[in-house]
Amino acid sequence: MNGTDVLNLVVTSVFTVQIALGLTIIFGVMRVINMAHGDFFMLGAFTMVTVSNSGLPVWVGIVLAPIVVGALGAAVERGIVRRLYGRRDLSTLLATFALSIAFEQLVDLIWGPQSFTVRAPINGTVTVIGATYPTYRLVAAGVAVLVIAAVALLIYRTAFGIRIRATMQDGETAAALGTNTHAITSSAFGLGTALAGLAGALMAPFVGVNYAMGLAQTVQSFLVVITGGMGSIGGTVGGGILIGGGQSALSVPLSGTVAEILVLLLAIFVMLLRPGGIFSRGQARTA
Amino acid sequence: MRLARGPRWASALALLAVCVAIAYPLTKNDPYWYTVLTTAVAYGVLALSLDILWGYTGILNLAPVISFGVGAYAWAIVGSHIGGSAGTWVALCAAVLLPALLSGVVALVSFWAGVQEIYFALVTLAVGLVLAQVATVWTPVTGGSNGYLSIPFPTFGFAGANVGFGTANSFYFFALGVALVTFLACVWLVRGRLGAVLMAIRESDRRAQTLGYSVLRYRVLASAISGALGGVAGMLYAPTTGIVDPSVFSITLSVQVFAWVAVGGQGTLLGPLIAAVLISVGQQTLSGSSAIAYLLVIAGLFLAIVLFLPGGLASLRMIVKHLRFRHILPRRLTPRRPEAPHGDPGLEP
Repeated sequence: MNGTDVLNLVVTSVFTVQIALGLTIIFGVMRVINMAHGDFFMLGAFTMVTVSNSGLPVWVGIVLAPIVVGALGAAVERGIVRRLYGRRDLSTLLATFALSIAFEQLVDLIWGPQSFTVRAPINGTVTVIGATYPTYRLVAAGVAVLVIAAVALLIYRTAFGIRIRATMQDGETAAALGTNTHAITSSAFGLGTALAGLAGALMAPFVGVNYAMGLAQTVQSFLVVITGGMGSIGGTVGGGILIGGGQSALSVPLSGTVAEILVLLLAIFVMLLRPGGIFSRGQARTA
Repeated sequence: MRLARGPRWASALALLAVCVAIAYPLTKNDPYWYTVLTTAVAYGVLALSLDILWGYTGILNLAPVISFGVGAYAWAIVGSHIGGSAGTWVALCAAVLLPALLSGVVALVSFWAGVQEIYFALVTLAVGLVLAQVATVWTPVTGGSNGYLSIPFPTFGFAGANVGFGTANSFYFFALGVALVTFLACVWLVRGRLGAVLMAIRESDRRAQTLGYSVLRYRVLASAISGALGGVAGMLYAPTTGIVDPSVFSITLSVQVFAWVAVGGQGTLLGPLIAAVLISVGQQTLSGSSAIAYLLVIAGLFLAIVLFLPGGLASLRMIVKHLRFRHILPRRLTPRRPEAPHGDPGLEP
């Protein structure tokens, strides 16, 4: 493993954590399995493609993507997910499953099936730990770390965060004590999807952007959230480093596909043996 | 015999649709139409597989294509290594038993470990992805991402004479026969004691357990039966298309299977079968952007049904009934499954 591999591992881990953090917030607050999460990531990347193609500066896309995608996420919560809270038959899972395909087909219809590339806003390379590495990737990962820290502060250090956590623990009591849980659920859905959308925009210059790119991220985020423990923010950070970093590290000596198989098997065993997450002590399931 | 619940006119309409579907290729005598319809019939059996599991037993397997894909690969690989009538029988057993065994084991391990609902759904999703990746990298056996070609058609030896189904036309009738037998077997199963127990588990697993039924055993049994049905579907699919590649495990196909069952009405058998046949004929005959738009419409329809008609399109007759008495469209139909009183407090608005 050389310096480039180490830097790739760090960048992959950071973005894995950011995307999965969005899924954790959505699951933690609403107990909703958002099967379309990766597609919000994909839509963030396509916001970037659209901005870049229209001749605007690329960084406008990075600012715009979380706003557009977050607004869409909040709208999805109001229009679709909210109607299904009372049901116990995993309807939200099926609805977001359908939504995921709908988003993909819509993007395929509008932009076509080809892969897009986006010019990075920063060119050039830097030499870190003996490796020549694109500057933009390190800057993007830095932005992602700041965003993750800001979200953690938002949730653990603000009044809004207290309301989110109260709704996570017990929505009914939070509502009885004066929290507008309706506003909390749609803003939490918006926040969760905005995190995915921002990650899509930040990663667009160094990954292939196409309509089917979301699925891998949905699966990856689920693996992280399962491994870290559903609804636990600290666990998500740990799980993201384990899954994202692990897959990145394993794909150096093995092939990427074999690494993916191993990570999937790890996640299956975690689900069977430690349903509360790998960092839990076999605590009760949350769902 | 009435084959499905619901009004007689719906059954008659469905039967008419089936007759038209059977007769259509006869009027054309075109191998293309035979191939399209044989694939549609295979998908119909796949819809039955999900309906037994999701519609009747209430188990959410997010990757109903697992057994389909394993069945297709098993038929292709085993059948092409052992030729002739013996090969057909061995491959048939492999294509049915392997997926049944796999589904049963996944269910047994998961439910025995106490994994349920969301977690079981995610376990099945992960298993499906593992299989897709294994099919991609295990090139010497599966043909890798290029797919497995040279898939045999079935031949049966009877008293010295060989009955082969080696053309698109004859295989279509073979597939129709298999699908009919499978469908009748499913109807017989769900009408019997087993079906009653499965539905009892769907309504309330605690009640079924209290009444002395081993919920674990019946869930594993339902998974194995569903796996066998998926295997049959895969076995019908493989020779028709002539290629089995890792896309048989695709999540897009899984969502479509859910859409067929939801549109047809889960827990009705006939509905999902017909919906799968009709919808997939449309899907196959379209191409380019109209195929994408078609899939978009199907996804939208699926979403609308999950939102407004939890019983599927078949429950539209409930709207008609409500209209007759209330003269207004009910804002939301009550789900067929009543809410459990001990339900999760959740975030009920």
